[in-house]
Amino acid sequence: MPTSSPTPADTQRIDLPVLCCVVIGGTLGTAIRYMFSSLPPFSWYFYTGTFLANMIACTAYSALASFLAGAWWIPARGKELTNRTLGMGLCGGLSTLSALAVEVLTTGREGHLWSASIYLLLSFACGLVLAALGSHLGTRAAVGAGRGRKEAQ
Amino acid sequence: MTALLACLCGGIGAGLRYLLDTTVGRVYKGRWPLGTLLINIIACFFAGLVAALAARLALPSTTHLLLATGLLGGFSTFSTAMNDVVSRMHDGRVGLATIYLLTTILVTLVLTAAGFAVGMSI
Repeated sequence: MPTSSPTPADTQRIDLPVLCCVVIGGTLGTAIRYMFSSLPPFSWYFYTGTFLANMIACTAYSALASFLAGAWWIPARGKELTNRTLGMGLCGGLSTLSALAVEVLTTGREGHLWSASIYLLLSFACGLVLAALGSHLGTRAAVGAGRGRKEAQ
Repeated sequence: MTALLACLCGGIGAGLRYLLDTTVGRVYKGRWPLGTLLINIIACFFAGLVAALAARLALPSTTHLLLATGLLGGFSTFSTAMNDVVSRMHDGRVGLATIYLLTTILVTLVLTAAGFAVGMSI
């Protein structure tokens, strides 16, 4: 089962090592998104870089969250640091809703409402499907890895 | 050098997201993913503002890159919003997930437009 945060208790305190992990992950995620932004657009209204960055981030974030939720052999602190570095930091920094919204707005302002709507709906529809797929794959990976560990014990 | 600074700004944006999400989580205990929604609303408003200032040539291109691609790009998050929707659907809260999804789409677009309008008027 995917989770947006490790446990409710983890969201109640500001933890300096966790903050550092998020900043490092966010820096790396932004670097990857910046590299994607140089990709040539599929068409003048379809921002390939933003779209690809968002889709990869959706899949990876949900897969990671689901895997960690089912990974009983990883200690809680390890799960939190991994989730915050790779999930909240790397995937959160890789994906961007603000750039997507600005791209939709500027395309719409130029009078191309259909193009803007298609780009917006494709982003959200594909993002949801890939997040669900990532969640499924993450859960399966955790179950498989957990079974292997139980058999080894 | 500018690209490196933009990446660092993205890291700072992600750090600010963690701080705001944690603060909201301490105050609000409900089922609604309020932290992510607030983060995206704030990011989209300022992204619209920055886009308008850049369109009016009132913002140097380097500053625009650092703020739009770096700080605000790292602060906002699409993947967390999508994971929030999927995780609530998995929990059987389809209505909540649908309302959250539609709210995210509509409110962020409206706030981006509002930020853009403010940026064009100041």
